[in-house]
Amino acid sequence: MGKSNIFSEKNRGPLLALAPLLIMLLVLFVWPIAGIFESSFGEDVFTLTSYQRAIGSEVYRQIFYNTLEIAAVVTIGAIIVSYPFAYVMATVSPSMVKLLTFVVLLPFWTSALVRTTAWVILLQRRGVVNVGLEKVGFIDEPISFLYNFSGVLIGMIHVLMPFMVLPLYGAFRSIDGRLLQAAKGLGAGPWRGFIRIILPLSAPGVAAGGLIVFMTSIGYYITPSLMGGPKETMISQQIAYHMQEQLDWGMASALAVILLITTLSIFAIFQKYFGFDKMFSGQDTGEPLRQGDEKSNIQRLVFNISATLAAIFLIAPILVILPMSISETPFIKFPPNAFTFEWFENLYYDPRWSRAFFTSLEIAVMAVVISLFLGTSAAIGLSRLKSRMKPIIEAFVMTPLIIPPIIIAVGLYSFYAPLEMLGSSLGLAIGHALLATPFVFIAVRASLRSFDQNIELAAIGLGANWFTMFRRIMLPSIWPGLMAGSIFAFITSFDDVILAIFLTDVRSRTLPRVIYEGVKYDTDPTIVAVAAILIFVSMVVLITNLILERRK
Amino acid sequence: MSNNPTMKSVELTNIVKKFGSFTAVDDVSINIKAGEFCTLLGPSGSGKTTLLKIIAGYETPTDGSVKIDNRDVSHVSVEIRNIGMVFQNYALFPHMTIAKNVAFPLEMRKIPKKEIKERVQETLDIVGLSELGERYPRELSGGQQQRVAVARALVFEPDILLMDEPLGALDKNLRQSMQFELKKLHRRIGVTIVYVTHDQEEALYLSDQIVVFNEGSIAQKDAPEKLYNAPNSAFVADFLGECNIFPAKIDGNKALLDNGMALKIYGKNNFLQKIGIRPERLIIGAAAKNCENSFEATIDEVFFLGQGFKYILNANGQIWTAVSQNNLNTEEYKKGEIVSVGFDANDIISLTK
Repeated sequence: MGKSNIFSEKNRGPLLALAPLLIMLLVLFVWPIAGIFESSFGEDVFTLTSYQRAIGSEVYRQIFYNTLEIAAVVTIGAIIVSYPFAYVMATVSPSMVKLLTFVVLLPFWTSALVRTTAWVILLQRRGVVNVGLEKVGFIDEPISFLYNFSGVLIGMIHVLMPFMVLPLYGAFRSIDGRLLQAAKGLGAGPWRGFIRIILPLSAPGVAAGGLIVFMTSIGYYITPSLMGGPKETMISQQIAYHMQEQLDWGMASALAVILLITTLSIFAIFQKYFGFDKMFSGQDTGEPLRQGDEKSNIQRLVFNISATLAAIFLIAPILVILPMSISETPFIKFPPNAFTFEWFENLYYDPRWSRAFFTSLEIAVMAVVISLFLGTSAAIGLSRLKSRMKPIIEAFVMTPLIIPPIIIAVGLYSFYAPLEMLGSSLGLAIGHALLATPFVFIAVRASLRSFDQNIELAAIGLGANWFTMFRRIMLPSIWPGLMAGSIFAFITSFDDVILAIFLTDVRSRTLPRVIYEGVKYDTDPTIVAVAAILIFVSMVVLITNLILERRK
Repeated sequence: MSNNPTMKSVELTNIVKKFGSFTAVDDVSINIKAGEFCTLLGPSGSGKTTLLKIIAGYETPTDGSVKIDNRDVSHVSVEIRNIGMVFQNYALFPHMTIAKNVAFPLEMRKIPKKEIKERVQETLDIVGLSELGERYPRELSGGQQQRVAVARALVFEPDILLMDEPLGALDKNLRQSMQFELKKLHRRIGVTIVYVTHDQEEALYLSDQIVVFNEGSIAQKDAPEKLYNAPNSAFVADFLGECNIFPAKIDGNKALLDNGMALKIYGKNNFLQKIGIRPERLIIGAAAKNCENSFEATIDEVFFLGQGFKYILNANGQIWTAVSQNNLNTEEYKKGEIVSVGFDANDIISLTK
């Protein structure tokens, strides 16, 4: 119907529902980021010193160059590894699709920190990979995978690969299989059919996934910090360094502003050509692609081998952790030759771990409650809003997903410090809710889309008031969305390292922070047990989710 | 459901509805008698669904009043207006059984559990779904879902029943049998029904009164036969059935068409701008010569319709459509044949716009 003034009477309810989230975003997100902008121009008097230093000095130029180089190589690497995998995933039988989906989603659901930890354990000088290669006789001396360019590359491609595979899979799914048959009928052989038909039609998927991976890479923190050496320092690490060690607030702010503007520019390009909401929703059209359509066995072989290698790369480091966690010598031997539960016992008896675990749990539960309320209310409000401002509000609500978490962390740090909220569980939970609310919002929006608005009108016409309607009709319909949103919110909070590094102190450290510090500063074998537990939890959540989805 | 239905009249006076600068409903007044089956008919976007939502209370009119049973309800909110509505896609609650769906409005009215059970069963009996109370909507066919929607809208004895294209989602055969059932149901319980459709056959079949909409205003309203036989405008003549429509100039008891043809007409007024003749009133063949108006035409196209034939005729550059019945003795004409075409002066519909 008519798109009237946003403040018209009709929009009163929807705006009220949107208000809590919008207010929270303004106070905890926009305001602190504005503060970062302000302090990047000097504390008391306006000055461009920080920017002059950032642009003028060789050190910073090297860091910008590192950041862009790493992001570019990671993006290209992710495309090369993901492309055949996604293609095979889109062309195999339904039961194979399920297996490959699991292979992509398990890493997707496992925290980036845990996966990075797994790689660190595997790739050490005396780690499983080196020992294995030595045994087979490929190498005499252990290869240094870690604390150099290859470490960062392996870790980041692994962490970001799902973001590449999923849009690519969507792109392949939307290609009509009859096109390939038609090309064949017109005289194109299997390779030419692939190059002239599949490659150009999947190009938008490559571009979309590539932009997302590139954008995320630029602001990455954990993986370069744990797997890279000093030569691979990225901009996020430099921001943290200036805040925590140099206490140079102006420089940290200037770098954050540069990172923010770069990220937002890439996102603007992405929005212009692709659109965030379309990213994971490939439209099936016509007949699906089938690999059997091509007669060339060589082509099939090439794709299948590449896809198998990609699958092993995705899943092996995660699965290897499980048996290693009960190995007597966890860092070295795979398969283990003696088993022990020593590391799990350590975990249980060491107060450092158990306290961190319960702190994390408490914060995650608070974050879920807050983000569930804010996200659901905003999603309902936005779906009922009639205004031209709608897409702008929607994009605004999503921004915490796009902005590098280090910037949110810096912003919250500066906001909490004067309020003496640093180290408080609630403060961190609110920060996590900020990161998690977009997930709840997306999930509830999606389930509201399949909720016919006439059903709402019908219930009211039959005599229900709005709250009765909400409780008895709408809530049961959007329940799956609420559940999915809660799980995402929980994982977002339970996996976060970056906010925890800035916003907690020794007493209020969360589990991810303890893991992070454990990997960075010492090598306590207990970490393997923690990683195994977290992987196991992700597996359970994922499998439950897949079963629930099938039942639906 | 009681056997003494609540029969209420509806009176719409000067209803206007604007969305920003767009006028969806423009000064519409309709009187619907208690127990009447009134259809709002028109192409999509003509304002009929908006008007239905105004009667239901989902939309507030920009101007004008809605009276039900002589009581002004313009400012009574939806949930207490006591109107049953059947939505286009039925809007059944997917997570509730059929019985729970039908019980919903009674629960909202805080009716005792025992009575709810009885009335739900009674209503399901009426729509012929007695056995399916424990099923979920997705387990039912389209026609059965439609009946559930009707049962849910009737169970609380609403003052009036509103239906928004309720048969639009069904295939043709099912739609026809549901039309038959709806008509029986209406005769049986006598509730006042306001029905929205864009299907002219459905409107003719079901209604006591048809209100034809065009671009937000009423083009014409009348009983189905009168509307079909005496449309007042080219829009209504064309929307309700097919019609040969030509601009005409009046000269005494003759109407002059653009191609020079002069047709005999009776006592027509001078405001007349166009004339219309229904295709089924055209007679083709030898008998045409005995009609008050007759002419020769070439057959451009022949279509077999099953129950008859449709001919596209060219008479001196003017294109006519004729329909003949598929009787055993009907003569079939071939493309390119030259035939006589005729009709009586009484068959001419005079159109003022």
